[in-house]
Amino acid sequence: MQLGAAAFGGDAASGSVALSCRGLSKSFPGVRALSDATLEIAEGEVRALVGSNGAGKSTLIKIIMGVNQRDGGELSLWGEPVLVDSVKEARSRGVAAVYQELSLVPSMTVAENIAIGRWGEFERFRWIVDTRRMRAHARDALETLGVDINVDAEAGELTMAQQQLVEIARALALKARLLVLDEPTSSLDAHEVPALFAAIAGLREQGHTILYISHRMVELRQVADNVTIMRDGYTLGTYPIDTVSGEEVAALMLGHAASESLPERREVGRTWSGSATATRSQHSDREVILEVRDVSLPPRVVDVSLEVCRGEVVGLAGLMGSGRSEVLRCIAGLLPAASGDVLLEGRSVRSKGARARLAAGIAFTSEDRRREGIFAAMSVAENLAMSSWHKVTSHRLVSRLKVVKMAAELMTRLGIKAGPGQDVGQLSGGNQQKVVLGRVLATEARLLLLDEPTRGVDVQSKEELYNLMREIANEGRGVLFVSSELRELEICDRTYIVREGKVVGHLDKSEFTTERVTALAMEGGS
Amino acid sequence: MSQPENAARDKGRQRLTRGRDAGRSRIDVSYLLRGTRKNVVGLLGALIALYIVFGIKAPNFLTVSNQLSIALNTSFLAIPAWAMTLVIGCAEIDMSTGPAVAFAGVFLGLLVTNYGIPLLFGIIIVLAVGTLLGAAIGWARAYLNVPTFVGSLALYLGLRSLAELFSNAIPISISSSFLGNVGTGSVLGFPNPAWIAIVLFFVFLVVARKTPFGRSLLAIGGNPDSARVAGVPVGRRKIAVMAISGAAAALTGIILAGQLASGNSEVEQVLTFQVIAAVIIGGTALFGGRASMLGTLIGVVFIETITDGLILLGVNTYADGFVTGLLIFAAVTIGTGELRLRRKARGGRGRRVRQGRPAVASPASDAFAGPESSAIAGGLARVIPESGSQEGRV
Repeated sequence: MQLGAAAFGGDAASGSVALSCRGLSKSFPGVRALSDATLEIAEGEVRALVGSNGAGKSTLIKIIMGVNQRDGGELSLWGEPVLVDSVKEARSRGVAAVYQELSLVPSMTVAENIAIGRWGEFERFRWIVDTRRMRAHARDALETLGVDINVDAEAGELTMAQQQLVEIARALALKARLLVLDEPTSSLDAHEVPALFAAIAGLREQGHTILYISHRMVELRQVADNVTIMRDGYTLGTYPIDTVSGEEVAALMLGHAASESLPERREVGRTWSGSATATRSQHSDREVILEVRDVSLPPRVVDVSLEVCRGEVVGLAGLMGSGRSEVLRCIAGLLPAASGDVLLEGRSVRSKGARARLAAGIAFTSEDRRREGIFAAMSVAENLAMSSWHKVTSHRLVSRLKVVKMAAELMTRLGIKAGPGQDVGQLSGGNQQKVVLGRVLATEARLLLLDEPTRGVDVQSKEELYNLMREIANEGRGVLFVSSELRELEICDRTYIVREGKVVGHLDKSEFTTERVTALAMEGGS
Repeated sequence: MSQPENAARDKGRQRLTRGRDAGRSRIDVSYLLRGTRKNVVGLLGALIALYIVFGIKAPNFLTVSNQLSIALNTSFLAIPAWAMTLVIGCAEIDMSTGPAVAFAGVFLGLLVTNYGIPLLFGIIIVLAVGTLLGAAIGWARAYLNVPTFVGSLALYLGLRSLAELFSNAIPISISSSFLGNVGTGSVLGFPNPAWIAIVLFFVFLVVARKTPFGRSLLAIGGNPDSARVAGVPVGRRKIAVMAISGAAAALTGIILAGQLASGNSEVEQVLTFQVIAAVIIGGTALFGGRASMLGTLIGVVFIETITDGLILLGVNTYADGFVTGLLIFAAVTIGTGELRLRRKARGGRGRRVRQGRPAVASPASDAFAGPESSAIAGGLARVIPESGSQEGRV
C-alpha cells in the first residue's frame, strides 16, 4: 500500500493519473474472476478495455464502481489510495458508469431523469421540486456533453443514441470525472454512433477520463487513445491503439496465437455478400433446407443471404448488437423483413407469420430464455408440449398419458434432469434450455434457429447441447446456431460472420480458427 | 415448491397408484383435489367457520330451504365467475359482466315481448350478441392493443345505458313457461339455475385443465412472450376467452330473466365486482398465469353465504356490502400473508425439495417400463398440476 501510494503519488500530484489499479484480484465462490488487473489511466485519456467473455472486465468495473469489493491489490483514484466499498462512495469520488442496459424512466422528461433520486437538491419550500432549477441543471449537464436535447422531452421518445447521451449527462451531473462506458454502442444503430463519439471527444477535451469497453475495433480506433487487453482475469498489457492490428488484439484476447502464426485472412466479405451461389455449388450434392435471399431490415439487417443444408450445423457469429439475433428473427418471422425472401425447402415463406412458419417447420428459440422461452410456473411436461398440443390429445382433450410419454421420451433424449411435473422455473439454466429445445424438437421442425442456446449454461450442459445440435443435424434437420462466444462455433460445419447487420465472412470448418472469427466479427471485411 | 403442495401431489399420486383405472377415466374425481392449493384449503376453512357462526347465530341458516336458496343465488354469480377465472388466468379482465347480465335480460324482453320474436330465436340472438360484444373487446385487445380493462369498462357504461334506454328503466315482462321453468323450477329438488351452474363448472374445469385451449390460456397469462414464440395463437385465444365471458354473462342474464319473468335494467349492477372478488379469493392470480376453478367455486359460495347469513342475522341490508367487503379483504390478506411466509421459508425448503428429487430424477426411463408402472402414475399426477403452480406469475 505504502509503496503503491508512493509510486503513484508523484504522478497524482501533477494530476496526470486518474485511475490506477495494481494487482487487483477477486474471487467468487468457485471462480477466480480477477487474478491480476494492473492498469493506469492518465487524466483526460480515453482507454479502451477489451477481452472475451469471462476475461474479468465486468468484475474490474464492478470493483472500481464499488459494487464488489476486491480481495487484494491496490486501487487509487487521482493518486489517492482508496477502498471503494459502495457505489455511493465511488460516486462521491467522481466515478460513474453507464451500463449497456439503459436505465432511463421512459415516461419521465429528460430533466427529471437527470435529477432522478436527487430531488432534494432542487427543493423549494421544503416539499416542492423547483422545476426551473431542475431543468437548468439538466441543460448544464447536456451542454457539458455538447449535445442538444430538449430537457422537456420524454425519455421514451428519444432515440437510443439520445438516451445513451442522457445517461452520460446524468453521470456528468453527478460531477463524475472518470466515466466508465460499458459497450455504449451495442444498442445503437450505425448512424447514431458519431454523435456519441463526438460527445466523448468533447469530454476528453474538457479533461474527463473515460474507460471504454467495447469489442468493435473500428470504433475503438476512432475513439480511444490506448487499449488494454484482458484475458482470464489478467491484464495482458496496454498498447497505443494505432500500433496494434485487429488480429493482434484478437490473438492476445484469445491467448493461443503467440506461437501460431495467423494464416492470411481470406477476403470473403466482399465476394460473399449478396450471393449464395458459391456455397450452393459447393454443396450441390446436399439438400438445401433454408435459403435466405437478401433479407433486409435496415438498419439492423442488411442484405443477408445464407443457406443451411440438411444435416448441417451452421454457425452465425457476431458480437453483441451485430444484428445476428435480428437475422434469426427475420427468418423465424418474428420480425418483418423489409425485403428479401426466405425459402424453406425451396418454398417461399415470406408471406407467412411466425406461427405459420413454426407449423411449416422453422422453429426458433430465443436468447432470452426467461422472457421468451420457458413458462416458469408450468411443469416440464407442459412446457415440452406447448408447441405441439395436437400430438398429445385424444378427442380434443389433453391426454395425460400421451403428455407424459412424450415428455419422457424428450427428457431421456435431452438428458433433462428433473421430474416431468416439476416447475421449469426451478430448474438450472442448462435444464431450462434443454426444455426449450425439447419443445421445438417436439414440433418436428426441420430447421432449428437457436439464438445463444448456451448462454448462462454450465460447462457440462454446454457440451451436451453441442452434442445435441450435432445429433439433431444428423437426423436430417438443419441447425442455425447463433453465439457471441465465438470460440464455441468451432463445432459448426460452416460459420457466417455478421457485423453491423451484414454477412461479412464465411468460414468452412477447415478454415475456422477462433482468431479469424473474432477478427472478422470485430473488423469484418473492412 | 412448498411442502404441503408436495404432500397434496403425493397424495394424488398414491390415489392414482392404488386405483389405476381412476387415472384413465374421463371424469376423474381424484384430480379435483390433487394439487389443491393451500389457499383453497384455507378458504374452505373460512367457509366452514362461516357456516358454524351462522349456524349457531342464525336460526334458519342450516335449513334445507335456506341452503337451496344459497345455491340458487350463487348460480347467478357462479356462471360468469367460471368464465372470469379463465379471463383472469389469461391476464385479462372483463369489467362488463354486471351490466351485460342486465342488458341480456332487457334485450331478451325487448325481442320477445316488444317485437314478438319466438323465445328460442330471442335466446339465440341474445347469446350471439353477448358473445360478439365480448369477442369485440378481445379483438381490440389483440389487434388494437386496447387493454381489456378499458374496453370492458367502456362496455360496462355502454350496456348499462342501453339496458335503461331499451326499457326506460321499467322491467319488460317476459311470459314464457319454459323460461320461467328454467329460472324458477327444480329437478330432484335442486334449483335449475344451480344445475346449470354445476354442469358448466365441470365443463369449465375440463376446458381449463384438459384442453390445449385452457392450458395455452394459462401459458399466455404466465408469459405472453414465450407463448408467442412457442406458436400459441395469442390474439385468437384472447378473443375467444373474452367471447366466452360475454356468452356467460348473456346466459346468466337469460336465466335471471326467467327467474324474474322480466328483463330488468336494475339487476346485478355490482355483479362485476363480486365475480372478480370470488375469482381472486379463490386463488387465481390477478395478473394471470395461475387459475383455480375449484377456488372460484368456493369463492362464489363464500360470497353468497355471507350475504345470505347477514340477511338472516337481521343485519341492516345497507351494511351488507360493508361486511362483505371487509371479509373479502380479510380473506385475500390472509392468502397473501401466507404467501409471504412461504417465500421467507423458501431457502430451506429448496434444499429439502432437491433431496427428495432423486426418486423422480429418472421417471423418463421408467416410463418405458409400461404404463402401469408407478413412476408413470406419479408422472401423471404431476404432469398437469392444479392449474399452474407455486410461483404463479413470474
